[in-house]
Amino acid sequence: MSLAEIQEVPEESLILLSGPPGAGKSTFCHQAVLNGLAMGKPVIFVTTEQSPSGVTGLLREKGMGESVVLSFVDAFTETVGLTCTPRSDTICANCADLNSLSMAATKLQDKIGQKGILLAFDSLTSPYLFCGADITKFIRLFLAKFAAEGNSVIALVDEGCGKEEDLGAMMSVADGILRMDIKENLRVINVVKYPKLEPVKIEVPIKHKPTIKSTWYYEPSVMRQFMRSMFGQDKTVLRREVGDYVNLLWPNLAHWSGMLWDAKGFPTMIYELNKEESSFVKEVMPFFPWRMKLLFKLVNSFQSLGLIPKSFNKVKGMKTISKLGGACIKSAQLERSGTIEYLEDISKADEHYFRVYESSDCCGLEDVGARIASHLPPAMAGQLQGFEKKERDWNAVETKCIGLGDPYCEFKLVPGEIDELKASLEKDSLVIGKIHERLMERVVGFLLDRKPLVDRPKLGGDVHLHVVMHGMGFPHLAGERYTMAQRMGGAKSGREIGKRLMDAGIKEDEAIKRVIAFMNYCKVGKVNLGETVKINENCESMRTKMFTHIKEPSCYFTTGFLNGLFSAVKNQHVREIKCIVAGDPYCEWEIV
Amino acid sequence: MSNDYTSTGIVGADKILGDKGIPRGHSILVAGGPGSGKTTFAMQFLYKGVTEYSEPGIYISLDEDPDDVKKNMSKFGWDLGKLEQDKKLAFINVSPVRVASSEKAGLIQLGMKEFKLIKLLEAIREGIDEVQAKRVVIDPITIFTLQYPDEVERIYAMRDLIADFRKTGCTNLLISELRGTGLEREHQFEEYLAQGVVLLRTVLKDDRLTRMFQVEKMRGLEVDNQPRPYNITSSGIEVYPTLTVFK
Repeated sequence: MSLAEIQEVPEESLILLSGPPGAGKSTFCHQAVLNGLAMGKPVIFVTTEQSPSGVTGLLREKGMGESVVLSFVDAFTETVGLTCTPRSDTICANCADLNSLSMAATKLQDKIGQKGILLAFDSLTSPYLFCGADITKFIRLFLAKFAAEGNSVIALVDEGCGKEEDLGAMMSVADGILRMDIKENLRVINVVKYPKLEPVKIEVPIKHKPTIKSTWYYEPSVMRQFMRSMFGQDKTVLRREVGDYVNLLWPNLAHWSGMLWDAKGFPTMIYELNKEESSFVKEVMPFFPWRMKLLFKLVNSFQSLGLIPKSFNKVKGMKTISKLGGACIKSAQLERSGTIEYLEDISKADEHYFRVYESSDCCGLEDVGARIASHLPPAMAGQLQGFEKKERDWNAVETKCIGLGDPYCEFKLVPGEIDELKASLEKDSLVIGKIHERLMERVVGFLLDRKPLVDRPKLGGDVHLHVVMHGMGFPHLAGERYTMAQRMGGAKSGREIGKRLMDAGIKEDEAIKRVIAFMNYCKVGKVNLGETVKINENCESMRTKMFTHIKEPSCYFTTGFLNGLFSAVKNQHVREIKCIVAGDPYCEWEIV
Repeated sequence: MSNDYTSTGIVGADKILGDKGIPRGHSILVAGGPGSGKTTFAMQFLYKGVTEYSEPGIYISLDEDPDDVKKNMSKFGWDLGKLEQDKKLAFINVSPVRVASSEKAGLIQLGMKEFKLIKLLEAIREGIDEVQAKRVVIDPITIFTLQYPDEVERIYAMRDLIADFRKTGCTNLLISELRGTGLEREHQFEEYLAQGVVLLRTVLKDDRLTRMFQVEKMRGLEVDNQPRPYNITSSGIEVYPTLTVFK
């Protein structure tokens, strides 16, 4: 059993999470809330130890998007003696008055007006301190009842600041009991009881997560397959059934869904991840097919003989390398992410310009009023960094873009920081909304009227599986915020598509069928809909598999997308039960 | 909602009244302590009656100046003056206290009971005719009964009043003071005469006030007679019919 499994609070259940202060209860609870949101559940957060804005801030740090609004019962402000101002999404209550808590939550419940709400109560300790053993009545008569009405409840309580028998009485009502503790560098979660699960003890190492984890991991066999697929003769080594190419709309949808959820964190993460991945160009050399290896060896020896300039600071050096077909230029062409040309006329020492025709990031998003390439510029910067043995930090920023109305994209590469980089990565919600709308129009146009998705005059509509990386594929390297953006963003897109089909008068089953057909058309994998959703050769997990040795379900975008779709169309949810990353032969989702 | 019943206009209260409301033409005693929201309850009944159920109403004040009531209620966003102008709502001031005090300071006029009852009934009939009322509120009935120190007379006067109401077909609320916390108390005789009794009780525990709404009796209806929490919010009274009161 994994941590993720108990961080999804089942319906009609009251889960009590206990532990000493600092055991990580709130963090656990926040994750459960984010998971609930990802499943499309409405969330009521009862906060007693922190203001609603404080909680929102923490959730945002973990990747909750700016546009997501939770319903709050603010039992903090008034309890500490401040004046609480009710807002449309916040109702005030007082920890000293259990009635006010139940009334506030009920009012929000009525407003939400549907079942399947996740109520998070952080924590019961405050009302317990005010109301004593009455809290057990509250748990029984309100929280347990609330759960029994088809909702999920997770409530936190501190161990060690009350009578042992009161804690016992609280636990007797709960459907699930999780006791958390801290031991040296381990977080121990004792699953005392849990619906449909056997009691177990889970130990999680406490980690301090940077945006990107420092240790990169390559699965050698997968890496070799990727290299063979891209540079070798055999174009279907990765996916024998559907081939190694995916319609570029799918990775772009994943990328912009993530942007929709986390406009601040996501673009920087993607930039850093792509740059970092490409900077390992020398380390992955052994995996290249022999012809490529030979080429690199030749370049190396020419360099040491002085026939080719050693550094990339001069235009001449870059020109020679480009002519020879630098790794990125070559691979961009092979993976069909664009045709790259070095612009020697406007380049200077340590300021190189490249032009990209038919960039897969940007085609289909013409003239949206923003620079949109997310993948080639950082990848190229990373490669330069790699070739220079990481002596300098190269960066890249787009100077022309199809998204700005230019006929092609251009970007410049310089060592060191670029001032306008941050501004070009982060986009305001208006622009993101516009881009996402453009993608939605394409998808829905295809679904309703079989309008073509995207086509490029020379490179066509497909990109190599390798390109899927820029939107999906790094979950275990990038951590929670990234996976959250993938999942939540996916859910938003799935829901939006579902809703639009329903609005167009398409019947439920037909709507699902059409979206599945769309996924098959995009060659996401071989998607089959039966009692479950099964995807053979799912591009997301095929790509993720390269970067991880963690064997657990990891299709964050696909899961979010299916979840959003099913919840909008049939009020159902999906759960990934099998995953290629986890070692299963295919990815599978049960429909609940 | 069936035609035999009419909605209270109080969020959550109809649910307690068997999902139906108050039987039409019945006299309901609404008893509560000071600050429990009796007048708010009554005005919400009248206001929602006009605005949501097209049932005009009259408010008969035996105590407070109707202008004060109108002003107080504006905090809930209810424009009662407008409804009055549109002849959907009538305010009738028959306050014996104030009439007396203006003439003879400090004295409450007693005696002439028959006249008082007749005067009250007349006022009610006039009011009903004026706006074609379907709902009537007397706030508070206590002032009326106070005029009959003799218990037998008091009961007869009350019975006559209720019988007269029955004839008009108007659903009416009789507002009454509730002494004590309402947890342990003597029943007032009005409770026996009225066809329904609603209690708005407040309990002070430590320094927190708990409000409880309870339908003690409602003739002709299966009701939930457990106390349920209620709240006075910026939009009026809200009752939470599914919640248990934590005292």
